[in-house]
Amino acid sequence: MMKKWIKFIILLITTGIILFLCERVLLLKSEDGIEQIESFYLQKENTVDVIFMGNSHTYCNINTGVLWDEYGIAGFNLGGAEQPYWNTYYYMKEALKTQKPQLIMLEISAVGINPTDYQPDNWLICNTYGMKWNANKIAALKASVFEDYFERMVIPMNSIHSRYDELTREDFTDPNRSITNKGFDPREGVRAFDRPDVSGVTETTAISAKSEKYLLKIIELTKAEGIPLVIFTAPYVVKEDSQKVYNYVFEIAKASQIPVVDFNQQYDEIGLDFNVDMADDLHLNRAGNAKFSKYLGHYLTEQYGIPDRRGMEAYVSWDEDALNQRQDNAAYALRTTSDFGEYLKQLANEQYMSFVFTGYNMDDVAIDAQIVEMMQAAGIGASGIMNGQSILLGGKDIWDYTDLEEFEWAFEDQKSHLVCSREISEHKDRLLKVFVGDTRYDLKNEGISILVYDRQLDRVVDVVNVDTQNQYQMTRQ
Amino acid sequence: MSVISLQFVLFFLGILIVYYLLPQKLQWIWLLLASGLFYCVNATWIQSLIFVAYLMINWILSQFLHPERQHRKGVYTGVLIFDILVLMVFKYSRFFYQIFCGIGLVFGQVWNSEGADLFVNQTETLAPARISYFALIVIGYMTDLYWGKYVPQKNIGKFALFASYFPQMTSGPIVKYDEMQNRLFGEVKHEFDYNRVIRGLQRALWGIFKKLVISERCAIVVNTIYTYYQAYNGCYIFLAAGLFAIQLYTDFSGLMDIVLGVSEALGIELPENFNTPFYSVGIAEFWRRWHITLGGWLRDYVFYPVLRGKLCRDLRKFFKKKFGRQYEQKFDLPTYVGLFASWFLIGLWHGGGWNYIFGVGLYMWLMIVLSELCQPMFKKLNTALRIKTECFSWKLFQRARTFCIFAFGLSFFRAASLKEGFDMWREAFVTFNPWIFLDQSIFNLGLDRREWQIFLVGLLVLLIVSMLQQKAQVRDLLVKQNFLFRLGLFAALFIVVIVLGYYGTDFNAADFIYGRF
Repeated sequence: MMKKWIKFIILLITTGIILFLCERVLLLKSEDGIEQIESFYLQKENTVDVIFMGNSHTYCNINTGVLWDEYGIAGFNLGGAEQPYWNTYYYMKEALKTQKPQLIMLEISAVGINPTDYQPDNWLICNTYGMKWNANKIAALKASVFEDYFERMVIPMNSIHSRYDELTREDFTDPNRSITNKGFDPREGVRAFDRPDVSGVTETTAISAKSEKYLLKIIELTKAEGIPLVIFTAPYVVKEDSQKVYNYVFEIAKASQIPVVDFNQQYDEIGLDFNVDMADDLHLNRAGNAKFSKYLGHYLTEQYGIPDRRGMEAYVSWDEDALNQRQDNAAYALRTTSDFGEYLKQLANEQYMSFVFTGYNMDDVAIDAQIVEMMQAAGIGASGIMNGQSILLGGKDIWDYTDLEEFEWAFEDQKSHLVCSREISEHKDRLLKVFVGDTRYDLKNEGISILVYDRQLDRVVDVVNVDTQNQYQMTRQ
Repeated sequence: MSVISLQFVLFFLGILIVYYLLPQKLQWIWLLLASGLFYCVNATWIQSLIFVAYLMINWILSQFLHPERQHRKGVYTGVLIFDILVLMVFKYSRFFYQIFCGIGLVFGQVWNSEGADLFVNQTETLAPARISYFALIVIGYMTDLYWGKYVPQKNIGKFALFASYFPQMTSGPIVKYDEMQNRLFGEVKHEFDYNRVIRGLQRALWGIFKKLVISERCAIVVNTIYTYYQAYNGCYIFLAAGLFAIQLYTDFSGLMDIVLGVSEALGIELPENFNTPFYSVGIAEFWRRWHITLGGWLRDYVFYPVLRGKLCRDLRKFFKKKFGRQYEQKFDLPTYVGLFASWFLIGLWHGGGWNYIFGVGLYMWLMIVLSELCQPMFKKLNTALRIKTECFSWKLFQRARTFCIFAFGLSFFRAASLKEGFDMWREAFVTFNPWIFLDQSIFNLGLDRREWQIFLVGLLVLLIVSMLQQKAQVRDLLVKQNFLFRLGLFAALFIVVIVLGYYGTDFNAADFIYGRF
């Protein structure tokens, strides 16, 4: 009988493990709420000094890397997509279990942009499924859905199991879930907008009873915990109707002696240019978030005396985060560069390992002397320039190969495993391949092909082919 | 509360644990409470009230059917009229009302009225859930009492449990009292038996696999084609008919696997409702393997009584006089009359609509009669053409033929009306488009290539299991395997169900087709 009970228990444990693993793999690896809280759980206890909460206006606009680089502020973006106040409230309760921040900054625009008491499933998942299984998660789910929908949503598999046909390597390895991730997720691109002006809007529009209830609960919670709270709006192309809603929220905050900051009234101080700093009408782009974060960091230091934590052992992960943000910005700049000379200069980045190949048809084609000079200045050896291969590490040539025979070159360190090879096919074609991990990149055998791998980000940031016969036009693979 | 829901899992686990902790005398009471709760959760309070009243009236009347009682025939006739009336009023009001109004229109009269419309709507709203199942169970019980097969159950609670035992209150099986009384409230305590519980849960998981992985995928394609059958014609119709046969089988037999598995875990064996019907070589055999308990009920309480009835007796006498004793071999009209009554009722039982009466009733009857009548001719033809009939290929042909006959009839079951069913088949034959199977058109019916692949692999697994089932009980074979192998198999099936199953927020797979009767 005992044996049978053991078998029964094994069966139950197996069922539990299967459910856990399937949920882990199938769960959205979204940077719209799930990654933020999952990474938050990994932060060392009592290290986060400022928690930025709210919707995408926090985690897309507040660059924690800039805050760290400029002021040494240990900040964290703990937001979620269109995050309503009830989800913010439960995120806050979770956050305060392990952190005692010096300040909580609450971005309030969710009620002005998408004033709904019940979010669609995809946003709801982003705002709840990343939480650990506990009473807060259950309460957050209950607060988020209609009563008869709760049973469906409380079992994550109900919502996520149909993702099986979109699973990728990342779903199994989950690379973003780390202590170095501080919740920032920038938006890219440039769109021009007319600069909004809501300085004359003084009217108010009430928010829903449910939103107001949870806003007051947030205020109560921070007061009970003795943590200063600031209510703010991040800059965007704000509409008058939304501003009326924010005015209402500001009034509630003021009535509770909570300071408010309306950054939509401070464009000049921030230095925002709506022709170049917006990714879309709601979010700043990389240039915009850098400006805003710098301004915000100054505000936090001046107004709240948030300390500079740089150089402190417990805060190494912010160094790493800042480096990641810098490299991410650099990668974006590299990807958007269309000038080959400028591109070559950027290869000097310390974290870059660049594979430069000149195609076999180059025997009869002369590269412009000016370009040759620039390539040499970028550190590319003679072989890389004419009919061969050159590998650069941080702008220095570390490997040169001129023969037309097959070769294989490998590199391995703690993070990266790279193999570069050339094969000669039956038809005498030269096949150039770079393996990053087990992902294969085939490079064009014409003109100049360059693959750039970032060691810090552990990913290929750009693969480009330069047409030497057509004004060095760059085509991305 | 669908049997595929977290609610049901928790409900069942609660029932199971307490059930095995209780002494024998309380076990059936616990099941009665569970059944009552299950019914109430799935019905409105007024439906539950009607159901309780129905059971009470029947139990009281059943006491008058004791073999020692007087006027049993009169009581039985009264019971029968009452039970059939209840069924007619709650389930077939609209059907008969529409016929009545239709006749009126033939004579240029408008016979429908607001009051009658309201009455029909009200009866549909108030109809007790699962009336098609428990009404047959109760009528069968009363008939057996009248025939003196056993004495009436004195305990109203035990009678209520027999009629409302919660697993069978999903979609059957339609049970008989003599086979259930010892299992439900016998003298022996149902002890916890690890092997039996595991076997039951395994079966339930297999049923969920059939429903969520296979049936629900079929449903997507079937629904698309049936909804827009004017656009999807030709081979699409054939595809939809074939897929609907598979959908209905995996849906209904899947539900039966869950129901029987759940009951097995409680130590109560319920009668089988399916026996790999698609392995049948003829349509008559098919129906002996499909919805077995309904077929058995109609055989015992309709077909045989009709056969023994005055009409058939007179017919038999007449035929014997006219054609001699061997007439049965040529044209057994009395049997066909009995069959007609049974098949008409099978069709009617499925719903008050001519598409049901024709598709799963009279059409099936016609096919059975024709196959009987044509059998000698087929035999001669086979001999003349020297067709081997004792080989696999012939059996395969027979099975395919049976499937096609069944699928054709079933297509009317799925259609919104008899007219729509015929319209669809007209569309099927006016267009020639076999390339839809080759030019990827079928990937535009709601399932993409990967979903089709999953569906076909699921079907293949089902086929393999069914083939094994022909030789032995698959679960008996599994028991003989090593624990780790069985665990691996369970894990694989569990993963397939929870990952590849169609359920959750995007789907509504909880409704079973036979759950609506």
